[in-house]
Order: sequence, then C-alpha cells, then structure tokens
Amino acid sequence: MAEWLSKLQTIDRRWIYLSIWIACALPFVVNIKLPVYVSPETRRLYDFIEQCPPDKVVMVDSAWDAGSQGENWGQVEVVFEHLFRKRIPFIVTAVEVTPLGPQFADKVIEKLVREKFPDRKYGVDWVNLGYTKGGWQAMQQIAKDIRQQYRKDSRGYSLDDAEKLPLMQRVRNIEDIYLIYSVTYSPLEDWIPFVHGMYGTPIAFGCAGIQSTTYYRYLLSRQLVGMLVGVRGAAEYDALLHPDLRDRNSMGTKLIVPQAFGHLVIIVAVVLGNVGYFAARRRRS
Amino acid sequence: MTKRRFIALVTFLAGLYYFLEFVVPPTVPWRTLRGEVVSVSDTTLTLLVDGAERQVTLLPNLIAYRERPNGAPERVEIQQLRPGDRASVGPSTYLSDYITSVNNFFIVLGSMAWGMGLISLAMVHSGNIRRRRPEWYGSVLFFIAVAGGMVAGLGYGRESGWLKEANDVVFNYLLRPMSSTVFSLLAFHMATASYRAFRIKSGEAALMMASAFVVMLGQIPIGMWLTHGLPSFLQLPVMAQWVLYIANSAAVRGMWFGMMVGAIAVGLRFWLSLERGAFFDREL
Repeated sequence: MAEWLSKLQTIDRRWIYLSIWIACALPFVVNIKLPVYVSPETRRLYDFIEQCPPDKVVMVDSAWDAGSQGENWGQVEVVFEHLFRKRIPFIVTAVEVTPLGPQFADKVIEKLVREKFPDRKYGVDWVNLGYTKGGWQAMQQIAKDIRQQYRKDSRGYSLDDAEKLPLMQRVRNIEDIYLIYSVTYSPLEDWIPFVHGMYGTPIAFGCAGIQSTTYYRYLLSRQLVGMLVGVRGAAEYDALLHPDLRDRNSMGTKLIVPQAFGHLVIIVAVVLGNVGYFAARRRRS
Repeated sequence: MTKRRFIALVTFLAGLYYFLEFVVPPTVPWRTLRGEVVSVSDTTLTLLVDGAERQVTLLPNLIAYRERPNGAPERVEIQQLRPGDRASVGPSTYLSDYITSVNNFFIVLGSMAWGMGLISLAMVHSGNIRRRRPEWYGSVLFFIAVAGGMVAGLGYGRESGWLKEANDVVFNYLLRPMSSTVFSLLAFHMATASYRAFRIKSGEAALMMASAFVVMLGQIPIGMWLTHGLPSFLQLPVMAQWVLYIANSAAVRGMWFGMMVGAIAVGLRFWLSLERGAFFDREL
C-alpha cells in the first residue's frame, strides 16, 4: 500500500496538464453559474460609486491587454456597466503600462453599448483619451490640468471641441474627478502618493489576484476606497449589480467557474503529492 | 571621462530640481498672504487675513493658489480668483513654475525609449539577416510583423475602410489570442510546479500550506459552499479575508518598509552617481 501511495508524488505532469485543461474547459461546455461571497473590498467600491454626485466624472485607467484580459476584462466590464446604469460619465485612459489598454476598453464598451445601453453616446457618456506615457509625471499633470497631458482624444477630436466632446467641457482637472479606478495586471502605486496624497482624490484598483496581496494594506489605511481582485472581484461586483444569479452574464461570472475548478485541481494535486511524500518517508523509515 | 562626468552632472541636476521643487514652497513663505478673497481688480487683490483686510499690489512675479474644498492647493491666475475663495498669494520661488516643462521633458525622454528599443531590435535582426545566422528567417518575420503592426495601428479609431479591417485582423485575430495563449500557459505551469514543490517538510511549510488552502478555497464559490453551515468566523471566505487583510498586510508592510529604506539608499547612489558595477564602472 505504502509503495503504491508513494507513487503519488511522481505522477506524470501531463496528467496534471490534462486535469487543468478539463477543469478549465468544462464550464465552457456545460453552463454553470455559481453564487459568490461578496468581499468587503468589492462592496466598498460598489457603494462608493453608488454615492457619486451628478456633477462629477469617474476616470478609468484601463491599462491592460490580452495577457491579463482573463482577469481585467471582467473588472472593467462590471464597473462600466454600473457607470452606464447610473448615468455617471467616465473618461478612459491608459497611463504608462500598455498602449493597447484603451483599445481593449473600447471593445468592452462597444459590447455593453450594443447589448445593454444602446442610447449611450460617445463624447457625452464617455470619452476615451487614449494612451499616455509618463508615469507619475503624467498623473501630476492630469491632476493639475488635464489638457496639459491630452490635447486630443483617441479619435482625434480636440478636448475643446464642445460639439464632439461635450463631456470634456466640464472636466478641467482633478477637482472634477470623483474617483480614479486603475485596472491593470499590477496597478501603479504612484496614483496613491501623487494623486490621492496630494489632492485627496479617491483611488480604487482592479488587479490580478496574484498581485492583490501587496495592495490590501492600502485598503486598511483607506488610501484605496475599494479593489476588485482578479476574476473573483469581477464576479462579486456582478453579483452586486445583479442580485438574481440568472441575470449575471459578465466575463467575471463566467470565468469564476473555471477558476474554481482549477483551484480544486491544484489543491487535489498538492494533497496527492504530499500523501505520496509521507508514504515514501514511512517506507524509508 | 568627460562623458561620464557630464552624465553624472546632468543626473545630479535633474534630481536636484525635483528635490528642491518638493521641499521649497512655491511662494516665498515670509511674503505670502493666506486668507479669504474680498475683491480682485486689475491692479490689486484684497484678502481678509486674520480678520483684517490686506491689499496686495499685483506684480508680475506674484502667483496665487486657490484652496480646493479638500484643502489641496490649485494654481490659478489671480484674475480667476472670486470673492469668498480661500487663497494664498505671494512672490514665486520660480521652481514650481517649470515643473510642467520638466515633466514634459521626462515624458518625452521616456517615450524615446520605445523608439530606441525598436532601433536596437532592428539592428540585431538586420545583422541576423545580413550574416545569414541560424533561423535568420525569424528576423525577416520580425520586420514583417513590425511593418504590419504599424500599418494596422493607423486603423485604430477609424469607423471603416481597409485600415480598420487591418487593425481588426492584427488586434482581434492575432495579438489577442496569441498573448492570451502565452499567458494562460501559466495556469498549467503553476499547477505542476505546486504539485512538485509544495511538500510539508516542516512546521512552517505546514502553516504555509494551510493558509494557501484557506485563501485558495476562500477565493472561489466552493469555499463558501463547503462551510456555509458553520459560524461566520469559521467560513472559508471570512478566514481568507482575515489572512489577506491582517496576516498578509502585516508581512507586506514590514517587507515594503525595508524595501523602501533600501530604495532611498539606492536612489541616493544613483543621484550622486556613486553606483558601481554593470556599466557604471565602464568608460563611456
């Protein structure tokens, strides 16, 4: 028996690859939706956006691309949906991390407008300012005067063009921005000292699950008003937007299922590996 | 030697500017008035300071900061001030006047890194093709990909036309699936790596595995389903939250405190060009 068990620590890695593949692919074949526990960091972001005054806008630093779309797509999708639903105008940009960010945000917005909010208009309900380089210097300039950093939006319209971009006519600097929501694999912490620290503007992050551990300390100190953690955060936010499980169809809700099965495979693999390890140790002794 | 000294001088001056801009107030402190705006004319500004009205003659070097509701200062032209605003007015110390230009300079400098990266890649790959090095055809593909990507990039934001089609093909049907595929390989590698490496060989390893299981199960709906009948403090999502908020934050804060102290030391060495090793020792 011990000899058989000890073999569990040398399972061919291809079996593990296959298990992960089946665990991740199965939910795409069988339609499964799982209820989620809503964590405090997700609820805080949701509640904060709920309280947005009518004269303010939200800035979304959507600096992610295909590499992390599994986690970040759902995080921007649910927040955009919330903003559209509440009629809160928003500005999309991508600071420093990847120039593809605004293009991905466009894809998410196009999908939402096509499927759920056909009456929302570019320039009125949202504006995409495109990518900017510059890290904390760019953040400082956005805060001081947004036109110092962006002369045109991603479609080439001047920010002073009142006909095409009426939304931008009431946005001058950080004072007009209610919240900065930075979504990327690992959001730039520079938002905290250079914008929140200097101007008091609330900041929220959407990040990959594996990166989230370094940001929890900012939630405790209230330097972040909220955070969406990986696929889980997106699924939780969707649960707040749609209390009825049957109404949820965001990317987060879809991807939490393969993630759940994937986690289970990893846990089972680690347990089996350790059973094999202890069996081998007993045999030797 | 001259080049090295020149680089050291420029590095020092750039760092000095940001350091001074941070520590020196934007207006001369002993000549700055802070109070409520009473009136503004073309030649004078009247402020209510400690209950008494004070008139300020508008000189060219005078700058004003309006206090935002949250107390943060906003640089404004004096004529933009309105009665009732809280403001501070004084002669400029000039350093902050140039912050936008200096910031722009560094943003442009940072952007040049993209171009330099492209030039460097082009030099390496053109060398591969010229010398017919092994797998030189990969280098040809590099040039085709760069040219195709640049042309397709021109289609971003267009409503129709062949450039938009090209953008869709490169962006939606090449870049997205390829990047996602490469990144998703991590899931397979992480699974096998944890299977092979995660062994309970000590008490610390057992503790780490227990917390890993709690956090992993707490992150997924199955964790809630498994423990929903237990008292709330024993439910896996609640326990996972405790691990992340309390135990994890304490450890991360400690680590980051140490790292930041180290970063200050490294920053000082860079600023003063005291860094040694790599190319810092080399004659340029």
